[in-house]
Amino acid sequence: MRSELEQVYRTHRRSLFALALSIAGSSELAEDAVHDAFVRLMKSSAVPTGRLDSYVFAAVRNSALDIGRRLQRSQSTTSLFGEPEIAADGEPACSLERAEENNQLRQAIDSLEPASREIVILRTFAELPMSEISQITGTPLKTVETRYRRALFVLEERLRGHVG
Amino acid sequence: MNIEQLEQKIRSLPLRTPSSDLDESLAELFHSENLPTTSVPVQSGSKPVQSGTHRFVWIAASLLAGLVAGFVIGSQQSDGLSAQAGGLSAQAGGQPGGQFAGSGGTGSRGPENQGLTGAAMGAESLEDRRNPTEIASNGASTGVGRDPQTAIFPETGFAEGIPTSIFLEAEKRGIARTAAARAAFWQEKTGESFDVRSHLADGRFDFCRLCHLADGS
Repeated sequence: MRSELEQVYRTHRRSLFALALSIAGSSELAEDAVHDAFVRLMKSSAVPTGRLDSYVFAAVRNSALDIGRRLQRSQSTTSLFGEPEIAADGEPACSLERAEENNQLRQAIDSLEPASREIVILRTFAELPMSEISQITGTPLKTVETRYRRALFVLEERLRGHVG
Repeated sequence: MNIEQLEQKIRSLPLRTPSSDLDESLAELFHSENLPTTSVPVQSGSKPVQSGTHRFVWIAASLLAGLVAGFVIGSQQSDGLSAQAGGLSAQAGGQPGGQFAGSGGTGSRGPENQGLTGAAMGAESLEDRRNPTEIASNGASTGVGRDPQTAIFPETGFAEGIPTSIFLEAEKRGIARTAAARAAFWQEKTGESFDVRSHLADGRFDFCRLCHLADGS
């Protein structure tokens, strides 16, 4: 179980952190949440019956909610995204217009309502199936699908507004 | 733009990366023989660790050792016991945060013991390194009728003994990687409010200064 957990962390490190960050609100607390979740998983004798990665995402989510509740935080205050990548020649890796569009998209994702934001993270970055996301978040499948579609719609609108 | 294109665009955004501190502490967790079920997980002779949790644990262990030294010296005035307690303090002093071992002890016992405890700490008799767990347990057993944890920082007016015992419990439960997590845990346990930004100016949280001093923040 230990090596499998390590593998999940290596594969989904950024997504796990993003999920925790989206809930806990700061990098420091998000790291605590991820760490706490893995400590609990390592100590636990329970054997997950489904996908281990979903199980880990659920543990991190619970841990982040726990920490967020203790500090009464519910909104993300730290962006989920890092700095734009810089090419080897020191120039931005994409055109100015593309960079601006990406910036808009980042801000739009950051400003999504938390319930939708976590679904976007789990779906697009962790690439989990909707059924798994439904289980992780304890939300009915139809609701997850609706929230996801609505979130994409909002994001597209924001981008269109930028382009227009 | 269709859904797939938008998803692809989202995926291309670089997610924020967790710090190497998290990577290191988890790597340590994945490869450790023993899961962190004890208050002081570091074995004697191991290299100093930099993570917040372990730094904190060493400070806590050092404080306890320093306090015990203060109690023993102050109560019994025995050179033999002083040397023994000093050895424990000095031992803790070999790790990050150990520099505070003496201050914890003297702070709890008053100025008359500062010289003795300070000298004991400066003895640095590190040949006889023992497991830091022993420091705490020996400290408790060599106490003089008082639980060492019940006398921490009595001069601050803060509920005696709460900080260390709570923070050690936080560590035990594996949620003490950062000051913020420990603060949240403390808040939960005591029901008192905690402001991260102003706590260093708040006399109730003198304990926190040690960690901040240790990492220069």
